[in-house]
Amino acid sequence: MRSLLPSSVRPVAALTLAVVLRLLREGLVVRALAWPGLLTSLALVGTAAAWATWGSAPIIAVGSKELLAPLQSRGFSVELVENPEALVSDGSVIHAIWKEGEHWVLGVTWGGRTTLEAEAALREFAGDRWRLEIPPLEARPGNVDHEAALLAGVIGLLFTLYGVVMGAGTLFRDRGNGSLESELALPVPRWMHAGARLLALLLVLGPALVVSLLVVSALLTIDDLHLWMLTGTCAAVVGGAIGFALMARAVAAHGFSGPLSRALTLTMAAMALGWWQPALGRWLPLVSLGSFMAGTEPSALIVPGAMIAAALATFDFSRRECL
Amino acid sequence: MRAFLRPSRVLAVAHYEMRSHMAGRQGLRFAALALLLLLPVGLLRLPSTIVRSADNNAPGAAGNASDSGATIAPPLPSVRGIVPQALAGKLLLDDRSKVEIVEQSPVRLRAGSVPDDLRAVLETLPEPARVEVRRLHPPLRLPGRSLLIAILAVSLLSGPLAEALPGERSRRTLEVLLSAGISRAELIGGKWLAWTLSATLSAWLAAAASCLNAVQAPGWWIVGLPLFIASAVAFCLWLLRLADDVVGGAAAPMRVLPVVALVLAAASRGLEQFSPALAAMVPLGGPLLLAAGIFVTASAAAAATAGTVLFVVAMLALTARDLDRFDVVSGVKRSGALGLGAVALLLWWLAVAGPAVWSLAGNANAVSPVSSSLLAAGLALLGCALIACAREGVWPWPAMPRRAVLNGLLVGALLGAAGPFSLRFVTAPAWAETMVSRLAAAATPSLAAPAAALACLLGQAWLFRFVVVKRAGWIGGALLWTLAIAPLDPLAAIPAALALGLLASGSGVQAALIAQAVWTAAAALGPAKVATLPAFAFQMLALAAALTVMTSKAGAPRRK
Repeated sequence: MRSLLPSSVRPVAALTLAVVLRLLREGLVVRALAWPGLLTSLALVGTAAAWATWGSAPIIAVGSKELLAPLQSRGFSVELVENPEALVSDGSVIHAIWKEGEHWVLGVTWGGRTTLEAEAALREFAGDRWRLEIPPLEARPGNVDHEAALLAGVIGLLFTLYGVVMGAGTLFRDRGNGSLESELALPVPRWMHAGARLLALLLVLGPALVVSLLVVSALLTIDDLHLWMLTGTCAAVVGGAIGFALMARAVAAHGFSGPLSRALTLTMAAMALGWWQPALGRWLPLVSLGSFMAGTEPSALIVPGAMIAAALATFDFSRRECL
Repeated sequence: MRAFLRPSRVLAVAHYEMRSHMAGRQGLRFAALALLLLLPVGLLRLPSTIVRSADNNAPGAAGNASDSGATIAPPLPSVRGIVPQALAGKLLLDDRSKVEIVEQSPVRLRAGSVPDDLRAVLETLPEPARVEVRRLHPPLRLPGRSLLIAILAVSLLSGPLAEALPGERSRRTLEVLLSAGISRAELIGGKWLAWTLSATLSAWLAAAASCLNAVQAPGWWIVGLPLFIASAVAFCLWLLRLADDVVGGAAAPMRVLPVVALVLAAASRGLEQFSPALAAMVPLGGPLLLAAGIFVTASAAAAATAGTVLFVVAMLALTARDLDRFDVVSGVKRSGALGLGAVALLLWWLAVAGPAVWSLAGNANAVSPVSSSLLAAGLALLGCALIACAREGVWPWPAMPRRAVLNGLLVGALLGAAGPFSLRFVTAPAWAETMVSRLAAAATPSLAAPAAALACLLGQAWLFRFVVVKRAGWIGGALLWTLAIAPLDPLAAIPAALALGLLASGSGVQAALIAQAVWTAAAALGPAKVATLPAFAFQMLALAAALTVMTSKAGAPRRK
């Protein structure tokens, strides 16, 4: 018993390293790892650049000369036109101001900070009964923490789905090309093959998820980043365990698509459960990703939970022939 | 000449495909799963208030709490400050509210947004209104649940499509099929037909359920469903034409298809105002918007059909053409250097220079500190380098002879005498100034954040002075580092880049890492900025020293 740990560490490490190297040598897998962080960052930078290019000097159509100065002083590019209402109605401009009887009308097709700026300027100019004062932008204006959390959740979700695909796919591939037979002939306990595969998933997906979240957080600060890393990694491992276990339980004739579809559906259902029942979801790995996206922080119990899920998948594999 | 596409052979391949993957209990299980997912989507009735409340909240009401529970009396809008007499009882005082009343007469609010319920209360003030805010929403058509049906029907195909070509390749059965008496087009056409038909049947079943249950009115979206599915299947087959592994084969459509479909749908929506027919013809995007119920005319359906036919034929032809090819795209040699180098550089720019875009967009406060960017970018470089090394099995083992340490210290000291990297020969445009200075700061990262500095230095050394050097030579590594540090003023970084690259080539990556670490330490301890001429002179001296190290590598002068 005393020698159990040292004697099992070396073969598990060697098998894990072999699976990691095989995964990393697959070009499509490597591209998949880089994709979520790259795509999210590009989308964020692209959005900010588009806003900087087209949104920083908003155009407003007005029908009266007296409005030019107050609006220009607030940074608007003002166009004096005969019928501003027509322009805003047909979507040519986002904001327009015209007079109807004794009162002014601010016509808008889209809300946001510039609309509020235009409203504040008009209320001040017209001496309305209530006025607006807009505070300067904070580092993270408005509700952006919610959007940042959603981004982190989507990245975690993508890595979880990768976990399912890789968990199911590595076993299916090794079973198909015969390398699993050779592996099972090795003089090591059968659980090591499953354990090494799940450990390899953790070693490949965990760091890739952490780096992706760090890169996105450098662009748009994500609150509780470490919790997102932990929740996402646990979810990816459990997703991998589900994919692996369902593939192990399927006989070879079942092919790849059936077990994979079931694993993907089960994973998405677990996350949906967390979204709808966050009070329950925060205690369970994978489910907690959904509940965290809904705003409930996960419990520390998700770490042992993920380990138990991986252990169960490993135990189940060791009881089966899997060929 | 044999017929190019014989229907009987196409049907035979489709039959083979369905029998291979959907025979017996396996097929029943898959069908049950499809129905389990798709039927509820078609049958479930959702509260109609959800769409309406989202629509009402659109302008400037992002901070609203949930709008569910329409039958419960809504809470009063909350404010801070002193509530005017005229509004007493209509507002709730809450110190955490984001809206503050700063003046009583006239009522003056200090707020980043004004929720609709608060506006309604303010409109009850007794004085006559002089301003009206009128929301003129252009006719906006929201996607129906048919969009979800289309997406779910296609997402169920991740596994089958991974088996259709990559699975055949990995099992070595593709060669058998290619040697059979069928053309490449018949083979691909059969596989495409099998999965398009099966997904279309599932989607139509869900669509019929939704129409019968009166949750969505019948329309041209019913035609859009098979068009989108057909396009998606053809695109995925093309995407996987060279893949020989089910793992990669299942992951690729999962990550690529949603992005491509979304981008093309946006392009189609953008084109709509110029030419509705052309917009509907956009491959994937047009059929997706038709299936979502956003395009609703017969002409749009006809245009989408024409576009889909062209797209599917083109995709299948390209796939059939490449069936015999061996996958060289994802092979280690080709993408090992170029692909990973490009991805690493892009991640580096995005993480280090990207945050500066917020200041251009009008919110300079949102720009994250350089240290967090350097930590993320350094780890991204380390990750890319690790992958490259793992794929080729070549590692920078930490054997470090004394000579390498001395060489590193010498070059590092000379670079350190040049001060922090701040050379400028070209003035950057005003909009790029913050980005340029953030990138330049990465050459000698601040020691105030040691973890970020360490990750940044290790990442640069491992990727630019080992991985790239092994594949593209030390000049390639130096040029790539120059692009990473000073893309708009490469001349300023070239001497240091060449010095470090030469050192890595002659004395190993460890020597280059030591040199850059010494440079960073000297920059942190020395003056904030050194004049251009002495700084350039010291960098040139460092280059000369590195050149000497390179030529006297073996301890003896090089003979001609």
